[in-house]
Amino acid sequence: MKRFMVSVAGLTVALLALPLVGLLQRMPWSSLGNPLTNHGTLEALKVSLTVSLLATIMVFLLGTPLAWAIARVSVPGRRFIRALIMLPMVLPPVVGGTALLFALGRQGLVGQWLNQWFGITLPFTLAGAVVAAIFVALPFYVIAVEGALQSAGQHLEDLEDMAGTLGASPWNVLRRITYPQVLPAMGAGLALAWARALGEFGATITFAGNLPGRTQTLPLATFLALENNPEEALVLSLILLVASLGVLIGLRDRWMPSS
Amino acid sequence: MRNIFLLFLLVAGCGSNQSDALTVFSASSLTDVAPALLAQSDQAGTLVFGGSNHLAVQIADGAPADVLLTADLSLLSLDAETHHALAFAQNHLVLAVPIGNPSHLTGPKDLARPELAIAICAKEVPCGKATLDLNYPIAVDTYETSVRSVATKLAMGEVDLGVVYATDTQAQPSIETLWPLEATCPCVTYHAIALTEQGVPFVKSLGKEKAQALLASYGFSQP
Repeated sequence: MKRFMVSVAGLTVALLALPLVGLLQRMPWSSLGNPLTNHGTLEALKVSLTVSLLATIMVFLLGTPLAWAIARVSVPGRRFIRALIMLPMVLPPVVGGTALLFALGRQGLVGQWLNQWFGITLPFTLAGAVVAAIFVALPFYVIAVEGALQSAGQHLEDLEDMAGTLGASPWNVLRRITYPQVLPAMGAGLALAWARALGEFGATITFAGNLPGRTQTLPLATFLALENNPEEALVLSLILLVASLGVLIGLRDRWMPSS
Repeated sequence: MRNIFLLFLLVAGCGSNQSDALTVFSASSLTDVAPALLAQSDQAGTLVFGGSNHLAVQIADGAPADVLLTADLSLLSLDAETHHALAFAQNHLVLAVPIGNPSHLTGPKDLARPELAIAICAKEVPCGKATLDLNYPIAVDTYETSVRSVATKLAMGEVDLGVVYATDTQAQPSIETLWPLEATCPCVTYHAIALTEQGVPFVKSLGKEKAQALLASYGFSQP
């Protein structure tokens, strides 16, 4: 039995590793610098970093109260709300982008009023790319923080009550007792959210379009480079691969439960 | 263990080609007309749609196609004569607007207006290459990865102006042609290529009157 499990496991690992090996084996190591100094690549890198960092900040600001609320406040339909929050994790990003277009596009449900009253249009703008990234990245952060609040559970709530009875204000309790407990999970959640935002493709190209210097992120540039410049596509893929691996390795040491 | 092995065989078997039906690889800009073309030839077959560039790569890699309908013959390095290459249709670029022309646009000079939301194809796909040949200054807001998504963004009213194929304005009821109204170039010529002996009758049928009438009804012009 064990031999069977281990051999299937070995095959599966090989299946996961194979594409990476394929990518690295074709990498033009000697001319790696050419696409890297290319104006288009640098522009895409700049857009990607700007979009993913802004999205991560927004995820922190919006996601922290949300995680706290679904962990602590019992409202009817809480399970439904949790499912709604997790939906972008399993939804094809293209569907997410289409949905965003119907909701926040120039003719969209809410978008038409944004346009009419405030003159704000999101499609084909950097802000639109940030919105697309928030949409796909938010669940990673919320689930991580909510999970930490849940697993700290009654013990943490007892501590909070104690601090309260000793005269600490609710905001003080949050800052001095609750946050330190869930800080590692917040860090891990933010790192995962950032990595997801950096790799976002489908929702971005559908909702925010594709314009170099404004909405063309690294994954979009990679996809288009594949059409006529596979070498450039390989180098762009390497950048994304290194960034994603970096996040996972960083998480393993500090935040992931090690066996 | 043996069962799993059998499962693999089964999955692998799904990828193999059935020998009696025709496999036709077709440029995605022929999506609407291709089923009708196949039907008029009285041959059973499977249609596979994709960008001409992707299809060319797949065929070079040995994909089991009998016929290729491509928007760019130069992507393939093969002898046109032995493969019965036939130029069977033409499509030209048009400026298109959402139906009713809500922004009251008039023609090519509107392409340069930065306050308009404008979508064109990325230069990496055939329609984008042809758009560059228009040689107009364009204040682009998004380079879409297929002509279909330019048409969709127009139909949704998310962009004011886009460059698409003449056939797209005919296929999509919520957009209309702004300019030019007559067929003209820059244009795209579609070629049919027989990759197997079995594909030859279908390729030949495309040159005949029945297929040509069908193509005209979808907005294609004769090459």
